[in-house]
Amino acid sequence: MSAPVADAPAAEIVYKIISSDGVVSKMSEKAVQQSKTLSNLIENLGYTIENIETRDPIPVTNVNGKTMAKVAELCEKHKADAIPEDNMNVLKTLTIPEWDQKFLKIEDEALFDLILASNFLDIKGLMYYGCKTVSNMAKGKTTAELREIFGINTDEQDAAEETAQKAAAEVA
Amino acid sequence: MAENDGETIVPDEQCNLTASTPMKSSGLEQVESPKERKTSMVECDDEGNPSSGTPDESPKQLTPHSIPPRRRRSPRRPEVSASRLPLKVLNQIFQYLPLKDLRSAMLTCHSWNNALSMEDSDIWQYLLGKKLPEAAVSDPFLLAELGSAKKKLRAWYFAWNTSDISRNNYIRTNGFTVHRQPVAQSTDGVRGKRGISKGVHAFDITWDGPLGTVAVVGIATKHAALHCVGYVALLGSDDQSWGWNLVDNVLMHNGAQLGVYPKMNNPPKYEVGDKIRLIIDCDTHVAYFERNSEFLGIAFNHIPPLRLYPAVCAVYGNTEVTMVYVGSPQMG
Repeated sequence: MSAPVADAPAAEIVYKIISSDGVVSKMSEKAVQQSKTLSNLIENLGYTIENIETRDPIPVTNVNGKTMAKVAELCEKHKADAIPEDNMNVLKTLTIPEWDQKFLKIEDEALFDLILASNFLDIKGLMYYGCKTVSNMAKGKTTAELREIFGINTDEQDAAEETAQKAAAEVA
Repeated sequence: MAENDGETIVPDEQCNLTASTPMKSSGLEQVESPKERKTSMVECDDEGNPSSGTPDESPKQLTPHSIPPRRRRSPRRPEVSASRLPLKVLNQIFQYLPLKDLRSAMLTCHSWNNALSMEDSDIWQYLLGKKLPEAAVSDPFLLAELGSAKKKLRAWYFAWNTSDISRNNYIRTNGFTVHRQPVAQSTDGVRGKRGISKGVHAFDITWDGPLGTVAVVGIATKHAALHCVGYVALLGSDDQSWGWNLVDNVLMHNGAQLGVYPKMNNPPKYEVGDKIRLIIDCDTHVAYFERNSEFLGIAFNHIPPLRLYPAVCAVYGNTEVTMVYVGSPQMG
């Protein structure tokens, strides 16, 4: 007598997201819920388990593929976590979990891209951890040190650079 | 241009921050698109090529016009990333920084200065709640004239000094009101926390209790005495202090009476609860008072270029005096 075949468990939806440079990333249903913007987009555009396979990827034109891949990685990691509370006193004593500390140990420009993505996609955890990381870089630094760390010119440097560019343009 | 005053000592730096009131800017970018920034960087790289003497050289290796910062590893103009973050992101970053670091951030670039110039942003609201006593925050009248969280925070840094006060005085829990205990044959003073030596500064002083026989408001150096035996117009009794005795309307400095103030026949008596504004102009070396917003004339001139503190001295038991720093006064 053959054993009865159990029903397959309900499949989780996997969304495809296409970035500004045409790169496609994948995010699970639970991971997507970390982003309020993506959640609203999916709901408003009517993506369902029935039609997900036949539809185009979800367009996110403000984020490039490399950054979106990092975003997806972080959202998958935290997909079972509650969205952090938006409370000043809680945030003031925020500590960045170890996994996220390692995750955010990247080039400054990539870090800023991630923060901008978290702002646009409304991913509170990434926003708080990212901004806290930048804040830790700035803590205890003088103005000159801040300019060096973040690559910010003084007004004189900006003016000199502009002058040099104009001169170069005239030569060309 | 953000100005770096590298010669100032730490108190000056603190004073500069809390005394300054940068203009608010409403032209801030709310959101910057990463895509647009990428495009901008590409354009920059394109512009970078003509400036190269060897066209086949990679643009990413070019730094012909500036000394690259030690940590700069990405292509030219990474400053776009940090100096042009949207306001919401900047506020999120700055709210974790202590006050001293906020001063450094204010001087770093224009967009950071603009973000921190919004005096009622969450950054200043949070620091206000953290630094000021609850009794001050919840008092609807005490700081009512100060229009922003940042100005209230600044006033706290100038309030009466709990460590620079006669032993017969104490500062009430609101932090801004001094209370004189009923001790016989004693004159008792207090100084503000922070002195001034540059610019124009205004302090609102209100005598909340009876004057007694001596009630002097004025200015003092760090070395002026704050206590003596007897009922004496202590403020103004030596060359370290200048005072206006509200009881007899006489100005005092270096032990000498300089005359009646306001300089008119029968100047009106001070009414308890009237607001006196003490204005010290360090640049022209004068000090004067306004009462209920009315200018009373120059009180002291030729003040030496010293660090000066607002001060009062009192003799009446259980009388109280409130002092609130208001920054640069509105000039008519």
